[in-house]
Amino acid sequence: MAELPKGLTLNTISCGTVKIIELLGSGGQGAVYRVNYNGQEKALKWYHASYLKSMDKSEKQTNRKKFYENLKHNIQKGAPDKAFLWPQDLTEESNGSFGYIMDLRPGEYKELTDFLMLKVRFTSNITMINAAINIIQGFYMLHNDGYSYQDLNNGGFFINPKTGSVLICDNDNVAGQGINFGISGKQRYMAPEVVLGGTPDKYSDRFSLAVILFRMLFMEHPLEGKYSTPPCMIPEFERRFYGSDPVFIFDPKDKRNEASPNMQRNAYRLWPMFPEYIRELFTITFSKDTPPEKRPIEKKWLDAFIRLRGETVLCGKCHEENFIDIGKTNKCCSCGNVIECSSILKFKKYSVPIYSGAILSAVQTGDTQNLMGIYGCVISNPKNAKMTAIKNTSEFVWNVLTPSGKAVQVKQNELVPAINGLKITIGGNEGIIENI
Amino acid sequence: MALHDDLVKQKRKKMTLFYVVDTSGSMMIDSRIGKVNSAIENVMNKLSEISDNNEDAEINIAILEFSTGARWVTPTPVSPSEYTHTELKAGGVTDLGAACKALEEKLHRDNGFLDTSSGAYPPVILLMSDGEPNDNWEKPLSHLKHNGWFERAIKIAFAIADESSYDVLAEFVGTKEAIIQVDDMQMLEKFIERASEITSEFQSRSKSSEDADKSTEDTSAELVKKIKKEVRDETNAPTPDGIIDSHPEQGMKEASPVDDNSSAWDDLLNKFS
Ligand SMILES: Nc1ncnc2c1ncn2[C@@H]1O[C@H](COP(=O)(O)OP(=O)(O)O)[C@@H](O)[C@H]1O
Ligand SMILES: [Zn+2]
Repeated sequence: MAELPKGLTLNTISCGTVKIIELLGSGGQGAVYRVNYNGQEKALKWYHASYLKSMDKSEKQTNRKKFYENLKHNIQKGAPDKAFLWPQDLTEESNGSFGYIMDLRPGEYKELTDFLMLKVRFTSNITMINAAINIIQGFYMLHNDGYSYQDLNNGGFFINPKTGSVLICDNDNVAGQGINFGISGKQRYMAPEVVLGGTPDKYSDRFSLAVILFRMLFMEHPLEGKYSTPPCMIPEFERRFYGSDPVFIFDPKDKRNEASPNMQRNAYRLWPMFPEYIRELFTITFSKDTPPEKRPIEKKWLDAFIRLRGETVLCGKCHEENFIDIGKTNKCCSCGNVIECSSILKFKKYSVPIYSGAILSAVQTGDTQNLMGIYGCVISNPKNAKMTAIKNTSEFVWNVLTPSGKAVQVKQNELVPAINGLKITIGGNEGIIENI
Repeated sequence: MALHDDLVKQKRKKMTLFYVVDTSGSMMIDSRIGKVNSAIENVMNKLSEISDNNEDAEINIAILEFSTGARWVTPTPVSPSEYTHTELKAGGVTDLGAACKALEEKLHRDNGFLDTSSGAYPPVILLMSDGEPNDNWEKPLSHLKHNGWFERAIKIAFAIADESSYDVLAEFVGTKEAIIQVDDMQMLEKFIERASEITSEFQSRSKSSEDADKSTEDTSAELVKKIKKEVRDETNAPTPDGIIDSHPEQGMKEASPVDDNSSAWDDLLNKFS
């Protein structure tokens, strides 16, 4: 792990030059340096020669040459989504090693591990859901491009706690269908079939992705309960509790590992606060009866989290953020106040509850490309909470048609009263307010 | 947001790192004991950092010294951030048997050092010695070897200066490949520090398909290779361990697979009393 000296210059395959500025940190597979790359500050991941050497010895047919070629190929194809800190250029081999260039991670992004250990907190539930949406979208795009990530674990995710923006690092094992460079993954994040010796693929990615999301939302591990906590976690037990006989702590049928209010305090308390359609995705993914190919696909997760974000309101009494289930009686998770939502703004696929604090996101209107865009929000009259209105916070002009047939244009920061039958057209997508 | 108010820290499994230190009179030579003292003192910061950033395991340390008899320096395991090191002093003979006995007593859940209410990982035991034992060590060691925690612990021995204790140390750790021979006292500190760090971190790294089903001895041997390599790279010196060349490919033992439906599970669980 001899450190690369400051000022050392390396050449890249696309005729760029890399000059070492300083060491940022070192991990299991390599070290990361701040470098000057063609006049810009970037990060260089430089592999430990021993890590590459271990690939040569690998029994599998793959080796460092293929690893190198794969990185090159991924660089040429480009990042599947903006969430990835994707390799941008590759150095030539020097002294038995090589490295790749990527963007520097801005300081406001914090390690997922810090969230899991309560060192960093999201500023709101919406921000947390945004982070989930960004992570899911990243893997949706990655898998759509034919890749699998293969080593999904807490160490690869960096999140901005104020916005929910996500950066996914360690993209060097990302490879096309059927390609693997010997990596299995990290214990507690690997899918059961990988724990048992299988090769990671997009299906196992989906399991690991669900572990990441579960831990972020419920602050506990989905497979760790009384049953799976032996006095000493030796490899045989790891194989069993994460591989051959894993039991979800909220498995509806198999209660051996059931969450308890003492041991899994966070999950025990939080699980019932989330709506059924979210819980179901976890239940299916972590059920032993679900074969890898039947795990919910990213699109399903994405739809669910977009709905969850859209159905988050502020309690009329204590102003606490609550996930409500439209059409059901909901009680505030903080003060117990009954949150009654009697109408919705209905678009083709999603509905916005007409209840204060609800946001109208771009995706809900049908603008599927704009995952983070917010076009409006629901507010209530401070003098009369029963009177609600939708505020246009977007730059577009909304075309509103009243129930009596009158057309009105609503500009930024203007309000639309929530009247049954009223139609709002935003960017070509029409929504209608309906009583439920 | 009520949802995330009242969150409690997730319970982590405990991993206890045992230092078993020979403080016999000969440890005074070349200030061997001084090097051990400063290594332990210096590595605590790093260990507390590793523990703080590790969402898999919480690291505790325990120190046992042995010379004429054995004595626990830490009455119970402590977190590295709370530990204040008092200099270990050398003097007396090498009662390894007493150390084995003391260790065996504490490698238990009840009345022992291994609190496992939220689970534990196998402990790590770092044994440092510079000479052949004087007492009757065979029996206490053989008794210790029947302890399930000991059996599954990562065990690494440091043979300090003297080669005469090599066989005894191998007997303790289970394989010669888990011994680090240190002849140059300038290197002792580095070896102890790296060993402490690498063994504390290894639970939480990504695994390759090659890592599956390794026996405890092979894992220890693998870690020793890594420790040697890192120290070598750091000092850019040729390998300080000229005596034993590791050939981990030879004699690889597979961890025995356990049949899912057998009573073997209970046997396995009962090992960790
Ligand atoms: N693009 C980047 N920008 C800034 N810091 C980075 C970047 N990538 C990695 N690092 C930091 O460099 C260190 C080593 O990274 P890495 O080799 O990926 O380690 P690990 O094996 O622990 O994931 C870590 O502290 C990480 O936070
Ligand atoms: Zn309330």
